[in-house]
Amino acid sequence: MEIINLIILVFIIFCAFGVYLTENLLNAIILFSAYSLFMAVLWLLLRAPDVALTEAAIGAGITTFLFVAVLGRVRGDKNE
Amino acid sequence: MNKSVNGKSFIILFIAALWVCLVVVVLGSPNIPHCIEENVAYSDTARYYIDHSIEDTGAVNVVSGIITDYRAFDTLGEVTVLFTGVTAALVTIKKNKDTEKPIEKKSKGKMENRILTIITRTVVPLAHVYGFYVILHGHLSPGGGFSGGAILGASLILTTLAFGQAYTDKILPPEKTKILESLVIILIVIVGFIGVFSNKPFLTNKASGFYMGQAGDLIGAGFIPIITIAIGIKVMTTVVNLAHLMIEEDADE
Repeated sequence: MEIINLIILVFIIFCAFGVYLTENLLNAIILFSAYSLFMAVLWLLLRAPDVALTEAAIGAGITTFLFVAVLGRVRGDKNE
Repeated sequence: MNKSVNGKSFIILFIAALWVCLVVVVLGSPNIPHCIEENVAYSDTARYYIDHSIEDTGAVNVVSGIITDYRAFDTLGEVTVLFTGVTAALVTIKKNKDTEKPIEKKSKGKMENRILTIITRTVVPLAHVYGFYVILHGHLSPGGGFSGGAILGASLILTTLAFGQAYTDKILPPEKTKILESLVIILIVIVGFIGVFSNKPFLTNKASGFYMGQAGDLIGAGFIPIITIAIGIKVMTTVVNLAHLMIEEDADE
């Protein structure tokens, strides 16, 4: 179980670095969504199912949608 | 992009240091309970909650018991924060209603995508049922108002993306949503005042004579189910309103 935790943690670190390093904002949002999803799995493994539920619904679902909507509004994808 | 190289590498170093700290904490996690036990005051509170939560609040889910009974006043504050946030977003972002064209509203927010439509038809009923389950069993199983409301809100956003905003407005009419959103806070305050009128502090659960039932019953645990349902409705309407606000502006251009 410890090993699975570590693997997921490494995934999360890669996603976090990716969010910072990618130039394309849409890619960054998708990576951030993946980050939230892995985080939800990690919460579940750390025996916090309440937090996992909220993280999966808000972090991976609603935040991603709001970010994409805002990105469409400010047209950030065109002036990279 | 005129980012200075020094600043960039510094930030990378900083993030790396943060993650190293987190890895150390996770690797050392078997030692954490030991550390907590040495801190007497913290240990006492946690032990008290674990030992007395079920008889005090009637909720099998200890987290739910703490959030909506021991710390119910904090939850009222959180709901107020949500309300204030949505009000601020509406005031800053929303344009004048008169400039809105009614023709555009039909397909507003709709994505012409067959895969999305078919998947939405399959997933949304399940998501709705699961959201209601999480809210109604807030005092029995993991989850509660915030998680259940977020699930319901996300599924309603999915219907907006697949069938347009007009379809979601039929399920959840905006005029009624606004009233519902405000009523829900008032409901929590009224439930709190029942405690005051029976000569107990604000938001008292067991001592002010709510029906407790058996621990583990669906109907019971005093006002915890009422507050959970109220929070669920509040979070759902907040999420849907925010999403529609963004889409609305997007389609105007």
